[in-house]
Amino acid sequence: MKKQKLGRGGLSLAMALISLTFVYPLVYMLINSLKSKEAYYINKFNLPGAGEWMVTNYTNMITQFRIFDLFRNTAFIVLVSTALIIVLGVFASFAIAKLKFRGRMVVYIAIIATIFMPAQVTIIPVYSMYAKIGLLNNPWSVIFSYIAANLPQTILLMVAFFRGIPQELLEAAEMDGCRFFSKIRHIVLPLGAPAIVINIITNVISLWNDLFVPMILLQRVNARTLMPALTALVQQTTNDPTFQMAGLFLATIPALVVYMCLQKYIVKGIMVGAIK
Amino acid sequence: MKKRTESIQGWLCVLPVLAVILVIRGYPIVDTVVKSFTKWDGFSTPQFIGLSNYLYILKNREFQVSLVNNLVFLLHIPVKILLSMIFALAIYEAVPGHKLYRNLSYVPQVISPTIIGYLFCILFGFNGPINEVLRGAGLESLALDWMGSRWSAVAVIFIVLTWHGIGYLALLILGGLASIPDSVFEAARLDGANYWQRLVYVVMPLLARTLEFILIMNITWVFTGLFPFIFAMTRGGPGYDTSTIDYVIYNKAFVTGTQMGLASAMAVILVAIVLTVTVLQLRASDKREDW
Repeated sequence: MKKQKLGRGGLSLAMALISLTFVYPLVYMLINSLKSKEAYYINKFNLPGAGEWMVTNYTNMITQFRIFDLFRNTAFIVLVSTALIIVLGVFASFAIAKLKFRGRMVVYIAIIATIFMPAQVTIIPVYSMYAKIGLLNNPWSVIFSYIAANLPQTILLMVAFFRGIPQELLEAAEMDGCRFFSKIRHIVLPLGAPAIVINIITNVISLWNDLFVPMILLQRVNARTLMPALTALVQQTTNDPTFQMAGLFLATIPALVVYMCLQKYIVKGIMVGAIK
Repeated sequence: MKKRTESIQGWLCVLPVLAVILVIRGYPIVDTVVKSFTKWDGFSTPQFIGLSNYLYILKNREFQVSLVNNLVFLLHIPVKILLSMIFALAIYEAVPGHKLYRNLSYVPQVISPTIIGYLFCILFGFNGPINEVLRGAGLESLALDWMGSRWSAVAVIFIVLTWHGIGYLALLILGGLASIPDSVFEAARLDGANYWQRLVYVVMPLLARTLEFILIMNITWVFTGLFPFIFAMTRGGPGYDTSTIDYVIYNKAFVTGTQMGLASAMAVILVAIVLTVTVLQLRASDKREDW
């Protein structure tokens, strides 16, 4: 018995050490972004000494690099894309899960089949298509691409979840005179909420973090989103790691805050998703 | 009458989704296949050249190196699964602090791969903290210019990929574990099975589906999802020593800029690889369904 307790303590300690590696890089980034690069090269591991705290890196990020403009560009694309993905996804998933119509399995399979198509495969034709209709450097080019890329995954999860909505409930609602939209509003939305919430969160985080699509489609400087702009910044400032870390840390904050506030839903959502 | 309205409603619901996917995913895939048989710079009229692109790729050293890198990176999957399995089992056994560990382990998933890439470049930089610790410990010879040569850079990327995924996989495995009814464990315990026997004969078979899903997902991810890591950490360099297939496609199409036809052919090969892996795996799992 005692031996077992010792074993659990040891295991817990090992887990603590591994968990430390998951967050230490973030801490390292934060601490050193508050130093001058000279202080950084002298000692990378201490907190900045009293009177050495530096926010210049952050003020430069905001006033010169104008990182909040990038936040705004990115947030617009992320929020509009996610909203459209969820709206289109809820209707389509409800239809596939609950309405009987000819060809729905074919439709479902056709949608799901595109999940594994990486963006790199379709980007060349998509790029020339947007170029032809003058949509390059327009945020909507990225929004359309995101919708097409993320809908299948979202529908896969939602269909699995919506199938669990009892048919009798929908029929009863119909008896009570519920029309199509009020069925969605009063039954599908509340009962499907867990699947909808997890999809909102994962879409927001993954789109906020995306590099490839906006890097190709939005090359004009004032149309850029956060990640492509950061890659350009990092290349121009190779000799100033503390300034880089300030930018990298700022860019991480929004997704990190979303995670910290909603971590309960994320953890549950992934665990439940694993079973389905 | 009801059937008809349901039919119309159903189609109206899926039509917008189908339209978007057809235009932005379906048509481009067909177009990529067509363009893969041409010499094309992206602007002028594509010139039909038959299989030349494919024949060129077979002999192309850059593509071979990238394919080998992809295969090497595949090896991070078993390592990652093993570590996340240990992690998940420890959380499942509710060791002290397990909730905190579970929540922290997912943090790397929330950070952009681009940022992770740059961050680890700083950490593994020649004058970075890791080398400083190594030098401080008297291991001067291990303080390499990590990103400066092929295999040390590949090793760093390998570590990053593993680190990045442990928490996510642990959650998936925990989900699988949670679906195993307690009565199964109880029965095994009554039969006198010890912890390891229960793990091997009870838990593992019941986790088979979850592990299968993880395997398919990760193999495809290694072929299609490494771009931001490679872009941030090495740009495929030195030379093309650390590039992967998805990175080469980007390079041929958008950096060197004039080889859209060749890039399309590589994209077709990439899709073929991903589809083959998926189909093989699904077929294997169908066969095992019987037991």
